[in-house]
Amino acid sequence: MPHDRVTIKDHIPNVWQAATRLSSFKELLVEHCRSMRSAYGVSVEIDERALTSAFFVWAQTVDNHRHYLQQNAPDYFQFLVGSLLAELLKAHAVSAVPRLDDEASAARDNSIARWWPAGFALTLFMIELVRKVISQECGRIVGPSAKLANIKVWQSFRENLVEQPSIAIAYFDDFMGIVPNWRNPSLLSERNTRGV
Amino acid sequence: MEAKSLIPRHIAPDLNQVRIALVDCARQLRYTARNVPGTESATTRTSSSQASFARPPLPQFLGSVGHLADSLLETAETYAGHAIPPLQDHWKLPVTVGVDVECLVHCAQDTKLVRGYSAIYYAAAKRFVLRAGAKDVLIFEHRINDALMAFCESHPLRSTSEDKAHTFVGNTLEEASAIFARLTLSLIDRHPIRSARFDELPDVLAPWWLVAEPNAYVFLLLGLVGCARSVRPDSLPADPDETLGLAADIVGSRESKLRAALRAAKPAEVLQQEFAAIVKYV
Repeated sequence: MPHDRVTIKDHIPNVWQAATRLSSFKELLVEHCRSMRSAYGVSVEIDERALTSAFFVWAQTVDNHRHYLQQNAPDYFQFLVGSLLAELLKAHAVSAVPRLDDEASAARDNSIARWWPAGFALTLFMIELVRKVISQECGRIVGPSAKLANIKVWQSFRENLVEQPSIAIAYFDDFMGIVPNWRNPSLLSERNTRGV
Repeated sequence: MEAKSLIPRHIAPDLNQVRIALVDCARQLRYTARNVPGTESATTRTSSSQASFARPPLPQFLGSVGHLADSLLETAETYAGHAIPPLQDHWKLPVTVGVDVECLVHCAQDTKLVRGYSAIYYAAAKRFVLRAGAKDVLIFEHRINDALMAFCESHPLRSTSEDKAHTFVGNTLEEASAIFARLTLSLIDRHPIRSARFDELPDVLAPWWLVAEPNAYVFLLLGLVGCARSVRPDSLPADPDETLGLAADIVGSRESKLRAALRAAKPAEVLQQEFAAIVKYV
């Protein structure tokens, strides 16, 4: 499974606070992108302007859905991290850097990473982020499903993203083993986990 | 009969303010001389086909006007003596928009301090507009000074008792966002940016909003930077130009909400909320 690469350090006392501040979020993402080369043999870079714009669009989503935290905290974080993934992908905040010396780690299957470096890097980062946040804020351990290693799911993800950027929220749910709302993934009121 | 002078009527016989007014007069003269149609600087970007046509004769007096403006600027600086540092080139270096809000709230009588902040805002605004792709810009520093003075004189915390005034520190998000929202509206209201000349199409180098409404765009951006710097200075980039760039990207992503705040029935309240909503995520 490709999710066992840890780049968000355990000593960060409040990961959610770090994720909701541009300066600290950028630091975490930079560190993660740097680790992609050694872990998967791909290089990705951050477009800081696109990252800033996407982040502040997402900040409005956080403010608009604050009430949901009291109702279903784990799904609140799941939904918001998925929304952040959607905004960053939509803004092309991370992109692949072609390198001549790209070499995969011998022990690791990196076919998905090579096929879609930016999407793979961002999705992996968000999975780690939501795991840490839900662990810290809700005391619950969550992890990705087997679909994360299925390249056909990734192909479908990338194809559908072109037409509907918010579909990233549904794929992110799917990767985390949550029943996605494929029709209106950005609508909190229609989430399948609201009553859970 | 109303005076035709560019010097505002209410300006006190104060050396600093006279100097600002003189410098602004000279800036306007120089800007006009640089941007008269047909002059070398104004036709630099004409196409080669246009250039093949005979140019109209250059007005002979324009060069003299430019020299006069420079002389005026020099005279104003000299006249002010050593009390005031020369400021006209401050924008050529990165400008840190750092405002001590507690001082600002209580400094209406300290014209030198207010003028220092005017100079910072003038330099930051000019540097930002030029780096955003403008070919030239005319900003009236005395209007920035007026806005700051008006803000200081009208700030509600000034009317509180001495004890209460001393407890005010202006470093909580709510306080700082309220202060910078009011200061920003005061600046926008006075339209210090009189003209900004962009030769490129908007959105190529600069966003439409900056080209169409430079006062709103620039002073919202500077207000946001001032607010963030007073509350969370460590979260901003060390390079002042990077900070302005970051703020421009934020303003771009929140444009609709910021525009709505300016149009609101109570703009100070709505803008305070928007500034606070942004800065907590910086």
